[in-house]
Amino acid sequence: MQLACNQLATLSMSIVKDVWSSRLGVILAVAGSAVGLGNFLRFPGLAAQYGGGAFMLAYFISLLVIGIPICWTEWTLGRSGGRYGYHSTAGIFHAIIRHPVGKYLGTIGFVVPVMIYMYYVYVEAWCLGYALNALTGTFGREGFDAGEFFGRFTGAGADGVAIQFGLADVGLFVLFVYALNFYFIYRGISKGIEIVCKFAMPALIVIAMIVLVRVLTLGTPDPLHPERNVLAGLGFMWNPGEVAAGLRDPQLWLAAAGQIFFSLSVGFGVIITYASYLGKEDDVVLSGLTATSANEFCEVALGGMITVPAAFVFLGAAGIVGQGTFGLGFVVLPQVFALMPAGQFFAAAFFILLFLAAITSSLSMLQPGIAFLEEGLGIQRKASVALLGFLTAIGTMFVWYFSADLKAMDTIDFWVGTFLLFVQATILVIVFGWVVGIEKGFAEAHRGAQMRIPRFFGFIMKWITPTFLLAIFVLWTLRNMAGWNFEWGAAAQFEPTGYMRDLVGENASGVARLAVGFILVFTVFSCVLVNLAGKRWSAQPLVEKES
Amino acid sequence: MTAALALLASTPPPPTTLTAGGWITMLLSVGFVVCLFGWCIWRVIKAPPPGKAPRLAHVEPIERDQADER
Repeated sequence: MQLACNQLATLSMSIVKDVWSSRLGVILAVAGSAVGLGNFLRFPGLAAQYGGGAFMLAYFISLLVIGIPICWTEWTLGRSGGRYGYHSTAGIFHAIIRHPVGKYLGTIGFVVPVMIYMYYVYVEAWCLGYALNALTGTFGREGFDAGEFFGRFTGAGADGVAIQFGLADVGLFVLFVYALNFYFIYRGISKGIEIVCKFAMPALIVIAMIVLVRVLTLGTPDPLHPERNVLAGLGFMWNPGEVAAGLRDPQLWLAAAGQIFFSLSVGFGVIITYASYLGKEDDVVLSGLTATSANEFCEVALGGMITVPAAFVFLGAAGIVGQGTFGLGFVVLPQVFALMPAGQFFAAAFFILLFLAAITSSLSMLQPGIAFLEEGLGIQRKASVALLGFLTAIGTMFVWYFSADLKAMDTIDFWVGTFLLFVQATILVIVFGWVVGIEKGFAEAHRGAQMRIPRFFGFIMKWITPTFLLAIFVLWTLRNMAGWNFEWGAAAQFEPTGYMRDLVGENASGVARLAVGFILVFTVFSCVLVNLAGKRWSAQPLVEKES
Repeated sequence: MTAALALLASTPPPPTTLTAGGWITMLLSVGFVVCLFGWCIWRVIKAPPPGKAPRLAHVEPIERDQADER
């Protein structure tokens, strides 16, 4: 037994310690993880749909009540676990909770980022493919049909059609993006993720500024439609509707809170992992707030001013209404750029911007997996990268092949990227507020902090955040699973949504069932890995490492 | 397509300009995030690197024999 412990200790010591090389690096990495497609495509669509005023009010309240508190929670728990040499959610919970069940609560922190990566990398490949096709002038060609191109390029038209390797196909881009992600993740925290984010985040902001100036100077491009001008486009996005009525609409709150939640990447298991590579005296309070504010800047000040106004100016309201995130980004915007002066250049710039936003996020999804495999199984970087590459390749191939109506991707996104995310965030908040305790948690957060968390956040983080989160979770479940129409009494109606009908009933979808089966198998497999990791961790004494 | 048309029919007519309420909403929202981001970046940049925080560096060294005079 002693020998085994010595061997384990030797193995642990042989694993090179990864750390951030600068404070700006970790802030940009966390901000890069948060800034993604949702900032530029999902947020503007929601704000326009629910009418600027009420939506923004609910949005900022959600930022205050769930966004910032969960962010500080993850930063604090992460750095705390890192002091004991743990970097995965399971390991950090093992060190903090100090109960055999603790590590299992962190299983979702491995499942969520790894499974989201499986389909996110596919979307990332679309962005790069669209950028290159924009540069070669595909979108401006005579008779170009954006809907048809999207269906063929992404495979939304039929299963298997996306497995092609020409320039106008997604195949080459998937392989390239996949290799690129694993190259940088292999290089580690400071030489891989940090370098990419230090370059990509400023570049992303500069490109967004350039596109923003172009959109705001469009004026009235079509004299036949004088009503389609920039101010009307901004009005479509920002004009407040009935604010009081809007705030009484539960669906608006659900949309606003959901956007904050997903946009900030809270509950992914990413921030907690990134923060674990900080020194024990490194600031987490100001750094956490800075990363959050960087995401908000990209979302509200850049995303909110570009996408919807640009689409409105060229296509009017009819071209925007009813489009989802992908529809707006990959069907509407190529048409918009095709009509815009110098559109070829601006289309390429915009899709490169989306690609940069996506790669900083996808890298962040791999790190929790790498950290868990290395510290849980005691394997070296090459082995962990190979194993994670194999696991994620299975999922990406699944999503890539079963691409009709993007069913496989949509199903995994619903159950993992939304449902499990809620569960994980709730666990994090409860661990911080109730297991660690607010007093102890604040003392830990303030160690080396360069600003103090206002006192009232103690009450918010203990009571309001979990309650708000649970309320949103229940509402979301009732709406998106049971199909509640948000009416009471006799007017209340429940009709199972497509996600449920895909799994049970006469019209169940084979692909959706396969996707859910895959999620279950992967989750069970992850639990087995956590169990093995737990045995390894239990053999080691829990000691605080030198900073 | 039918769903999109139905949604379009149920929404109010598209605006012809940015109203006063729209200006206020936009300026408050964008202004808030720009100020927050700017303030955070300013705090991060002006903060000393970890472990190098000035402690008593601003205090002149005091000679032992001059301590009472001060």
